[in-house]
Amino acid sequence: MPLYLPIAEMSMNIFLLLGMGAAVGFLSGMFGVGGGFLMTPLLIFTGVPPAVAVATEANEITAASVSGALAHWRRGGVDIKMGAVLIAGGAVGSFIGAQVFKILRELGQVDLVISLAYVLFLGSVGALMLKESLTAIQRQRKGVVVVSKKRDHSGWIHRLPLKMRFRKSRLYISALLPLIIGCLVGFLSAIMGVGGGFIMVPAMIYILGMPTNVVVGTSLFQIIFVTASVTFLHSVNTQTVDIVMAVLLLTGAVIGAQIGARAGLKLKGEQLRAILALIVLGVGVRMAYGLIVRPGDLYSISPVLGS
Amino acid sequence: MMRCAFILMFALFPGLAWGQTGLVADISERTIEIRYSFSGAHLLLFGAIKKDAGLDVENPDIVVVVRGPAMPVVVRRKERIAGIWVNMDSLTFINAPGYYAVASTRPLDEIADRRTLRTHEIGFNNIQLAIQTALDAEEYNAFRSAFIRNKGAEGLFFSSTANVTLAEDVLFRTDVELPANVPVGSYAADVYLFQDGQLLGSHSTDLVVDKSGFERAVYDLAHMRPALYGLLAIFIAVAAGWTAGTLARH
Repeated sequence: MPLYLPIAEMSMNIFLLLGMGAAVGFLSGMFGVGGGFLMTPLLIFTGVPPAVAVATEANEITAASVSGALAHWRRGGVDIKMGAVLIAGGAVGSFIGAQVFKILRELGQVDLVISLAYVLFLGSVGALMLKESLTAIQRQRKGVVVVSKKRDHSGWIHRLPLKMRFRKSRLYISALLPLIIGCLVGFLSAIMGVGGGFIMVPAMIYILGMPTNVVVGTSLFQIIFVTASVTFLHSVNTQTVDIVMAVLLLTGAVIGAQIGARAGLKLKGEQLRAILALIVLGVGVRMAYGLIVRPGDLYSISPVLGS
Repeated sequence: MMRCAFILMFALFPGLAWGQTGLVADISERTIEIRYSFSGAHLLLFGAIKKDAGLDVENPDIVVVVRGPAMPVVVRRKERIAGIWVNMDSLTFINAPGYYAVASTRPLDEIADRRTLRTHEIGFNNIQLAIQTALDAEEYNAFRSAFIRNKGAEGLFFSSTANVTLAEDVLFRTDVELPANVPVGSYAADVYLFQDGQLLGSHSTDLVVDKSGFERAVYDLAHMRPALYGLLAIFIAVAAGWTAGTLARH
């Protein structure tokens, strides 16, 4: 059943959009990730203009992270204070990101930068995750019990000014750290059309040293606000948020996420991480392939913006 | 028989008017509304050659050109830099038609000479694409043909010979296909009557492609009240996420 999308200005099958939403929702429910890093490339591959894909996906992730954050909130897994500092950084980052995005669009380099960002971040995060999870699986087979390492902040982190106490995370650290991390993730969110959980979660664990029980909840909590801000900025700057597409994607995603969350319970943590790592790497490799292989037509056309 | 057809045509389409040169034409829909179910439109353009207008028409040729709204377009060329393909040189055509369809009774070069075709911008090769900066002809032509090739790939430029059917040298008809990605704006459907390489007459019909109903409302809100649109998008997402989160609990 074809449906005309008013902002993307193309006709797409309703069931294709619902199905893509459900498939990515299934994986995001299973692995506890937002799924933006999968959905945005998928939309681009199906012919949605990259600018519309990025902006609309930010809108969809807001919905996904609200329902995810709600579940963590109920069991006390959200550090509001830490979230607020991350959001403050995220607001700055997403603002800069949206401006950079607008300039890149005018220069005709937005597709290239989206692809490069995906290759760089998904490639490195995927490789690290795969290595970590495979080591964990091997260790478990050998029956080695791993004692988690004590959080260990190197000296320079402790010497940073503006120290703040985060009770829920049991931390006393400089507010500059979460501000900078929030800013970086907000920037990537605006450029890549992702929530940024795949960067935020490791950063929270390894750089901030937050306890794992508040990491995912706090990450989702701040993603709500960062993606909402990205949605707003893209709406104002480039008018590329397609509400109709977002509603269809998130309807599918919400249903898929519930099924995925149940399916995820049947797998072990390190197995889940290994599968997720392979998917992340796969998307990165696909993006790299698109950059390296000679395009069918070296020329491309696009409307002049602001006309 | 012919007379009956004419009477029927005038009865059905009262807007039909003779062009100044013995040509009359109309199109099945003059306003194409893009609604939620829009997946392209199929139009029928038809008309007649008036025989008794002082014209002695035998073996006439009909060319139909449908032109979409002109808008500036950038054409970019990729080059390989450090192993990856990057957009480098670009050229902007100031007034490129967003849509261009040409149909004719015979191949265009058999109908008229290049100069006549160029004057009336009939055929891909004769569309005048203006640029702002001077450029050598070879480069210009490379970008120009790339533009036409890409438009063709998008389904927005096409040409067909023998797609115009001419009955008894009087009545003619052709199909006009508008794909789902057709640009919004004012269109002109021009009919040209040729004989022995001479342009005997032409007739122009205006049509409008516009978003309407819900699609129009969403588009207008996004462009005229972008801040409100952004807030609405956020509100919908939060409400949907909240509902899903609450339902999942039960």
